[in-house]
Amino acid sequence: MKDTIGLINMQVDNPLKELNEDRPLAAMPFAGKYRLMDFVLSGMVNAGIETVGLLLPKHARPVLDHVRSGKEWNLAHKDDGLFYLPMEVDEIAQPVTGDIGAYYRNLRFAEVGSKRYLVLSYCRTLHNIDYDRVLHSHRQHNADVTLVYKKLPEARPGKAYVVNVAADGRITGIAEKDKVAAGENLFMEALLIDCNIFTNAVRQAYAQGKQNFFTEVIGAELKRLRVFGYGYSSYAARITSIPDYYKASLDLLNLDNLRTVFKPGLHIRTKIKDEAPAKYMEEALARNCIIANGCVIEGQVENSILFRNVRVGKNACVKNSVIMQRAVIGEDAQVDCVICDKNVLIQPEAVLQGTKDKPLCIAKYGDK
Amino acid sequence: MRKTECLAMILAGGKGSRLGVLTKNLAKPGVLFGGKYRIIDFTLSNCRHSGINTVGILTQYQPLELNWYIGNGSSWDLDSISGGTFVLPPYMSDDAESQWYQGTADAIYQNLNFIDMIDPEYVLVLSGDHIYSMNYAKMLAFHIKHHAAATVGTLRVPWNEASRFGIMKTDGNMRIQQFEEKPENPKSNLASMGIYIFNKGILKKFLKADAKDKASEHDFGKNVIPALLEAKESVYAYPFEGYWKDVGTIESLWQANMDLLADEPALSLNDKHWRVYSGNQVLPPHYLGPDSSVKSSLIAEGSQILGSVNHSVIFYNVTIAAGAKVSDAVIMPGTVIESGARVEKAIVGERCHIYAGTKIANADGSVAVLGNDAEAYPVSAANEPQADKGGAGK
Repeated sequence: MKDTIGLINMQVDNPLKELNEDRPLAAMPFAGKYRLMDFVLSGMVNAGIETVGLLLPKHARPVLDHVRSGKEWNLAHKDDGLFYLPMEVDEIAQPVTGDIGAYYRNLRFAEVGSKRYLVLSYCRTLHNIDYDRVLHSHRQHNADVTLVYKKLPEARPGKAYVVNVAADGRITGIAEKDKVAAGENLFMEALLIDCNIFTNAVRQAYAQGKQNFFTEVIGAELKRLRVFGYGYSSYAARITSIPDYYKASLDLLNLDNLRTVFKPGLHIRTKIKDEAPAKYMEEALARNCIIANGCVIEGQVENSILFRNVRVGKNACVKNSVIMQRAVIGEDAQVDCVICDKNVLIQPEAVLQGTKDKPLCIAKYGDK
Repeated sequence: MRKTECLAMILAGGKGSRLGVLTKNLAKPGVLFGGKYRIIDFTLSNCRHSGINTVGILTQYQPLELNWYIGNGSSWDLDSISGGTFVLPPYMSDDAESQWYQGTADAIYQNLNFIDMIDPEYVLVLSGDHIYSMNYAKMLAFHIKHHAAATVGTLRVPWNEASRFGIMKTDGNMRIQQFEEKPENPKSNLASMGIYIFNKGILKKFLKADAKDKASEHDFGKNVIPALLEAKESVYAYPFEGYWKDVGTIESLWQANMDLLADEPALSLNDKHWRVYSGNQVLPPHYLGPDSSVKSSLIAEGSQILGSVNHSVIFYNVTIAAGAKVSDAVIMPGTVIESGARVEKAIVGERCHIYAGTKIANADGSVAVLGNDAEAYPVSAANEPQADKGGAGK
């Protein structure tokens, strides 16, 4: 897909404020060593896209810290590679609604390389899309736009876009709904579009004062443009609340889900930290977990995700929890249904109990 | 541009023949260790942390995998603009003397043109075979402070092992008075670690003389250091303290892996100020199944453990099925151990497949070894392992 550029929109409200108000959703740690943006970014890189623009959120530091030169995603090129597209000062001061303004201000990014296609994606949905297949479908349908959707097996709460797909694959409607019913098609907020169509549509929509690209541009032009759907059938999770995040995290403990998110050949890349392999002490008791390098485990861990460099002290018990990097669980502490942010220190003998519907969130301590 | 003060030359051409099948297609510095590392990672990481940014790596025996691994040195942050990583294989030239490296000293001698090109003040000669964390900057400061012509890295070894090493006698200032290679009756237990710092001029002078000496074995320990002492050059012994291991045999490689499993191992892999860098794989964290049991072990990324692991080092991308039991073992990347299989006191190579019900262990208590890509099936009559290639245990 050398003829394609990627554009990742990270300018979304952070729905996980209980954990960290200043961390953009794109930089939310996930699956033991990743950030949510890694899944979208890796998907683009795996498809051979060599130019990716990041529409940076207001608090851009966590994103910049994570991606840096883009080397780990093989995006540190001489000409192409990674482009940071920061907000303007006035956008930060006075939040704008909708995404069209952001695309308009960065039209140059979409035009400068004269590439044929553009993949546009948000990163509030976890997936591992094979964009090569999306492009294949796009060409087969001779489409102007191809939207990636997933037919949901069960209903899910929370605002989301839903698309109607005709028998021939053509999209016949896009709407934002307060919840998605079982059997409806959740739009994954990832699409492939011809670059020319994108830039022309953004220019025109901006001049007309439109705000929302999906509904006011794509949705309004369904008759004029050839808009098709690409059905994604592997595991996906939309993350718009703490319960969403918690459920998506623990979903990975199902080996089938884990194997579809981390498919051979579609590697998810992330920042390298050079941690040692995880170490289990003599009294460790761990089962049904995902555990990253650098962890040292002396106590008990069950049904949990441990990020890099977590310590679990003697006789401590961690269950049904997500423990982010460098957190320390003190000796004899008991932690159940908890999301611990980075660097959190749980005192020895502490007892922390959330519920499966409402996990207890422990915010991060310190800044780095 | 700032001049390079100290150039590191890493000897990485050794075969390590006592490691048997593990070094069949791989030079010893490339042997896997500690769940995610290769032996040369320790030396390269030491260079980086010691502020050395120009490294020459001398390869000879089976260099393909090692060259691929080293690449441009970026995994160790040794790809800087002002320095870099240079792989130096033997080469042909019009000079009739050029040939395979005949010894440690000859390998450096044949690359004197590289040393002249970098033009450092000091040359640090290292071995790519050793497992240790050491700050070479301290050794260099010691060398400069003593106005030494050469400095030998040394450590105290148990007396009963002293005859395996180059042994030094020093005066009260650590100046070396006598150097004996593998003495039968050692007079001291101060052993050479096989690492040296030379002033560039001295190194060139003595290597050129050594190259002309037909009787020389062209070895730093046997020939070059004794020649410096003979010429009354000031040669000092830098005393290193800490974990250092030359894993020359299967038994010692296995033991060095097991050493990491202690509660407080002598060699820490978790020191955040002295990370051991390595060529990282793109893999998710490891997964432990609902009925797994893992104790006293190291487990690397991408592995899926459904069975039981006790006192073992599990590399990346290993699959251990439910009902399989692994103890006191080192399992290298990509290996699959099926249900009901048992692995005890063993080193299992990369991408092996141990079929259901197979037992890998040596009856005499020695370390069982499976080479890379081996397949092991159960033997119904005897409880002995059987492998189609790569060689099983004794």
